[in-house]
Amino acid sequence: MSISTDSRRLGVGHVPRKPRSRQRSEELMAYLLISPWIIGFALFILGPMLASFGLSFLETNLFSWEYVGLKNYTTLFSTDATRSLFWVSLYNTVYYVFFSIPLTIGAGFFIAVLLNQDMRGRSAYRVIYYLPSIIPGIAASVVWLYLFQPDFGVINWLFSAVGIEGVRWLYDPRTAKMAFVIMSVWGAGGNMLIFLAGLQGIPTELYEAAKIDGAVAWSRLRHITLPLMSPTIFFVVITNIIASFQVFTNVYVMTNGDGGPANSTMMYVLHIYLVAFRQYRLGYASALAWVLFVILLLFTLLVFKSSSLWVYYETEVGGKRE
Amino acid sequence: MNKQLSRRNFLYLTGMTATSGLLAACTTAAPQAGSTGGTGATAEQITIRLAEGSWIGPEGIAFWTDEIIPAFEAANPDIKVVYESAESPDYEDKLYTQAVAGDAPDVFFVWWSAGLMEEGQLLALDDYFDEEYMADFYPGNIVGQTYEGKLYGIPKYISTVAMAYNKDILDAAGVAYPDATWTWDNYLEAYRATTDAEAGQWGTYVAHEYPYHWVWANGGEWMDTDLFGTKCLLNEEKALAALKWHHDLIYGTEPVSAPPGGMGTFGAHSVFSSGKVAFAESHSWVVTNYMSQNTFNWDFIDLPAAPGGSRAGLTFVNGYSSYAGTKQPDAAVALIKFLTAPEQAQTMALSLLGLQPARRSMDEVWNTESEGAKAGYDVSAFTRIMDDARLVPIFKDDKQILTEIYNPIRDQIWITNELSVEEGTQLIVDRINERFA
Repeated sequence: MSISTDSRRLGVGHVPRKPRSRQRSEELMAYLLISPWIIGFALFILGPMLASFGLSFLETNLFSWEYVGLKNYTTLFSTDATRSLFWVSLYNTVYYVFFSIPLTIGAGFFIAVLLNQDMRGRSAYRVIYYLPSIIPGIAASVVWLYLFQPDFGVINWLFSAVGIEGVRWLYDPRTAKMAFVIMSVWGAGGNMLIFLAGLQGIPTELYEAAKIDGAVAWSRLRHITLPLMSPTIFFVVITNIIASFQVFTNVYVMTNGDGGPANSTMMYVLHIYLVAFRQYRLGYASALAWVLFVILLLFTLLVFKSSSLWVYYETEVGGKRE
Repeated sequence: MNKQLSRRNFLYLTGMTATSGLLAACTTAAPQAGSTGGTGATAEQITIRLAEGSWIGPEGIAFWTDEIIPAFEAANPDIKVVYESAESPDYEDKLYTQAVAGDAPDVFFVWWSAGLMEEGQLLALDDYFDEEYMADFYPGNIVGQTYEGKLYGIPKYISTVAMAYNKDILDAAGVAYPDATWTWDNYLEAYRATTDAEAGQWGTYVAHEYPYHWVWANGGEWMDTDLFGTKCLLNEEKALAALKWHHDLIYGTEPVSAPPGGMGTFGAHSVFSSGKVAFAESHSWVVTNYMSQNTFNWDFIDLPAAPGGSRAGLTFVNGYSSYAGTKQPDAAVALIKFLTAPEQAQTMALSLLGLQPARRSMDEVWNTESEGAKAGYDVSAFTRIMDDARLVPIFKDDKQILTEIYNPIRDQIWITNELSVEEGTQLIVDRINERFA
């Protein structure tokens, strides 16, 4: 069949097909270009995930194994803290996520709005606020250990300067988790960067028109900035939830791997790590990991489901995609 | 007719490639051509791997690569030793993974290898080291190297505890320097006389992470066996009394110790060097640290005796073991013998590593020729306690017991003071015993 015959047969507007040999070579090139990622995904992500799923039904330390069915999962959900720290670690993690997410997102958004203004030294400020988020976790953890030191740390010194008695931070179960929440704001620079990109995508004409109509700054923020930033905020919320649920490095370094005092900072991933690589209970650790996966999936789906209520896309009219 | 590569076929090919890659990664390396097997050996020379570390930086590593290994190779020209670093705090994880993969080093230093010992991953050494050879090592250090009656490791060095005291603080307070006859009550008086909490100076610092020898000194016990105990005995009268006595040093009516985290340093081992504590129980490996960090006059003395008059010390497991899967067991054992020989123990004691020898016959070297001894410190306090030193208690499923039971309750007793010693200890006992019931 010739191209012209195809056009007559299929009607006006039909895009003529490329020669088959060219189409095939383009397909091969496309598959070739994506194959490294697919092979890497299969080898280093999908394969280990499937292996860990299989391990979750075994009692194994990798030298020996015994099929135990759902025993790892039933043990996991036990409320006896001497059998399972699942609920303790989940509570600690949810506590951390619940407080750190609004703080880090709020701080990042606030800084981004400020640094989106036209002012001198804006670029330098952006670098300054972004720098903490690229400092290696272990180095940052050591710094924050000193900041939280009850007797000579900077934070308690600042408290004392305004007449407030300092707390024992990492040495008190009532304040240890909050110490990590406070520390999480250190990484707001990463969110700031994403929000800045989103802010710069908002047409300035909208703000000009709003100003002409007499809208004050708060109204502009509420009726222009926030709605148009909602897709970006949505993305940041999802990624931050996933990352926060997996908090590990700073807790491991700052509590000497114990999750103390009294398991008050035993986060979920730290618990998985200790079960897998200190107790060598790989089957149980795999079950813990898969339960975390399901929890994160549920949270993500929940946020996606809620997005129809608060996320506005430019192509939507009256809440519906055009 | 031209065939197009469909998406299904592409994914099928990719899956096959990935599976082949996975299977290829699971195979072991084939022996090199011309070798006699093992780790790349030639017909004339055997190569074995040694995993060791110094934990004091590059000069410490050079100690192994430039001194010890060449000395061994000179004495054993048919054996070549390849050094691997074991300095990472997570080295035990790495070693475990290597053992699972069947690729552990032939000889390695490790602090605690219970997991590998129980899984048969260590070479039994009974046939290579007889009783006469082992008699030179302190019993407390041998206990942790045996499992089901078989020997799986040879101790490298000793880490035990003595009392360090700050002479300047004692002089200022008019307190006499301690001697070996002092008991807990003598020390309590001295603690009280040297404490000025408002000035941030304390009589002592209670290292609650290492309470084991307090219990033993007072006639109590931790568990029902020396190793892998399944019954906790801490709620018995003498054990409880020992713990309560030390707990009162922090939280009693007249505190003489800052609470955990209350000092301007981190970790029990660096508290004494702050210069704000009159007395601190110190481990033998901190001698060279103290010598470089302390800016005041100080010394060591024996641990105090409990009110009943008895004394107890503490020691920790560490040593050299060989991988059960080693293809060169004789060469591996030869290296272990070399590393644990009196000559090497002396070298390690007198080098910048400053390690207290695990051999009784080397006590005099430590007492008179080590860096601390030459500087005039009474480091022999660390050897005098060794006959009364016992291995730190290790329960069955120890890591799980510590994470899920002991550590959280311990923190509530010693760090937050939410639980009294009696309450918290009973909770520990009940939960551990219930677990193994």
